Amino acid sequence: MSTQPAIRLTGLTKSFGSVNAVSGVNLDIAPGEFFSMLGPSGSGKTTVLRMIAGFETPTSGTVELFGKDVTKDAPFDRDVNTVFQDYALFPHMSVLENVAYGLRVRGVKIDARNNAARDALALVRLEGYGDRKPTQLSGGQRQRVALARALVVEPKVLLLDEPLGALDLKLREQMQVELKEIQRRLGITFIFVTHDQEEALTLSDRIAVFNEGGIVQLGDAEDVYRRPQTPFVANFVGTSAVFTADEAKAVLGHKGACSIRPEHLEIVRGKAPAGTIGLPGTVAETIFLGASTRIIVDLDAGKRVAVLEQNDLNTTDTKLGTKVTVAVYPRFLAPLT
Amino acid sequence: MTTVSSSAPDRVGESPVRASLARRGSVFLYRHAKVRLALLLSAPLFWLGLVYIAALVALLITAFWTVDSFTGEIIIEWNITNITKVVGDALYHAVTLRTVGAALLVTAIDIVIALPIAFFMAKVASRGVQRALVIAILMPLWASYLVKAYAWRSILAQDGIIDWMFGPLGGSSPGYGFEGAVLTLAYLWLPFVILPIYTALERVPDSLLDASSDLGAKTGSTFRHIVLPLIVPGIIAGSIFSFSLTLGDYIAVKIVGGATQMLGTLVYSNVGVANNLPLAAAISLIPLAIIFVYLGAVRRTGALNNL
Repeated sequence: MSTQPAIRLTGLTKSFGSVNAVSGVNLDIAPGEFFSMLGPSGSGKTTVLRMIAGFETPTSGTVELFGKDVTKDAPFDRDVNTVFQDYALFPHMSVLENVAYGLRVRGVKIDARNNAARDALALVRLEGYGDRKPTQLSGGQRQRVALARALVVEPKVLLLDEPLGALDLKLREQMQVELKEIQRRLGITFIFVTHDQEEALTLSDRIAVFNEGGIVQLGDAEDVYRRPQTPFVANFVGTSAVFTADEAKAVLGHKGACSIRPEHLEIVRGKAPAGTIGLPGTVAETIFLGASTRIIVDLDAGKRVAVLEQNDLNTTDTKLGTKVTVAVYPRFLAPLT
Repeated sequence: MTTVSSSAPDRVGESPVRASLARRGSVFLYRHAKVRLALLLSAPLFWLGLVYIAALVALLITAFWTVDSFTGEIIIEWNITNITKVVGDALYHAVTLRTVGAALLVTAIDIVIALPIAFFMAKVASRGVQRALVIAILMPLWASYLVKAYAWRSILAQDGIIDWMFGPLGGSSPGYGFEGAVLTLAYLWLPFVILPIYTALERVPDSLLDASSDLGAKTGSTFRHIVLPLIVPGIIAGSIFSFSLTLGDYIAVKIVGGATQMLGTLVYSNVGVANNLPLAAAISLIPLAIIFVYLGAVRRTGALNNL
């Protein structure tokens, strides 16, 4: 069994005029992987996706699909399909015609393609919606139609460009579960572009964090969350208190720049427990979040940190202006490069 | 809570006292939607009724009168001599067929030329090029119709530009006649066909084209299955212009058509040379009827619903 990657990007670069949208991306994505590209808008993640789909031609570098160089191939010659951010459903066709479109242009007979389209609609739980027009569907339903339409031609790789961005929170959570199920059932590679860190952490086998046209960190969800390598990742994926090398030395007595997650900090009364670093400070702000409370503490050593405290029975009294000690175990200091 | 509610009634109580005349007028109009609508629509309705519909009715009535062949005076007496003449005479059949043929030809030529230009403008060209092309297409509309027709007269002339360009290849200018008139009219109405198609294409999101090719459709299929159905209303809107304008034209036909007779030139010669206004009115009912049939057919396709 070969370990040939589903997608291999080599030195992928795209410039629009003098602006480098993507610069020198190297990436291997394994077959059957749920892979997320996470980054703020303008970070180049969508451009990378569009180069994989074939809508943009790279300025330099190559795109390989299962070992075959497809850099110069047109979108209709590539075995990848896309679910678009705006769904891009054809407004003059019924739902069934939309889903069957990929088979129609491949010359599949009408009965066969309509049956396949009905199966695909069943996969996304939209049986019986075939005769409607896209305008008669809700956002969530349109999203499912777009998914069915892309899946009906059995691509080896499915590209999803912020597919859940336009849905409300409940629907988004439901669709996340369904996407994951469908991906597991079909066993095909999903490449998922999002700016929502929680979505990426929930869904992905691996995440590439994009910033300013390049990948700044690559790893599984735990990796990216627990061991952010740069201040950008530390604060784009979740939030962190970031300490420069000088600050770390002065405040924490620690060597080298690092970041700390708010849930790894603890507020204690009096002395810090053994084995922890104790940081005396004053409560500057408390924000009640329901299950937890975010407490902003101004450390005496001159640094502001956020502490996330679970609202359980042991919750300490944290009125504004209270003198407290913030404690952290040294193993939770994530070193930054 | 109590402090908020106590201050509100004070403000409500004081405003009517200070109401000026303009304010009271506004309030009156705001309360009476029908008065508002009547004021808004009276001027355009007056214009439409008097200038447009009344003129058409006058035309219809005139068609039923006749002219004293000796004095040239209009005899106001109801009869259908003109109508039977126009409907029955072989001359009018031939001219009507020729005119409809010209209108269809001009429309077909314009659509074939307009589609690629409009597509390039809407989907390929950069913003700057797009703007330049829109101006380039609108520019001829700012020039006088007569100037353009006479320009074509010199283009089509013997030893004119067409002869000079195609002469070495064995071709020659069609000269002044039916072909010349069709070419000139196709040129004149081209902007009216390009612009609605361009607007229709602008409204087709790029992502639909991406999606189509992503699903495996080659460029031709994408055009046939996605682009064309979505811009049919634009094409029809453009064709209404080129078709109806050609049906009624007589100036360009006079200038570059040679001896070619069209419905417009027949109307023209009956108004002027023959001084038979009632017959001219009867003839002009022909293109009017054709346009009604055309619009009816277009309406049945449902294309007007999306305009």
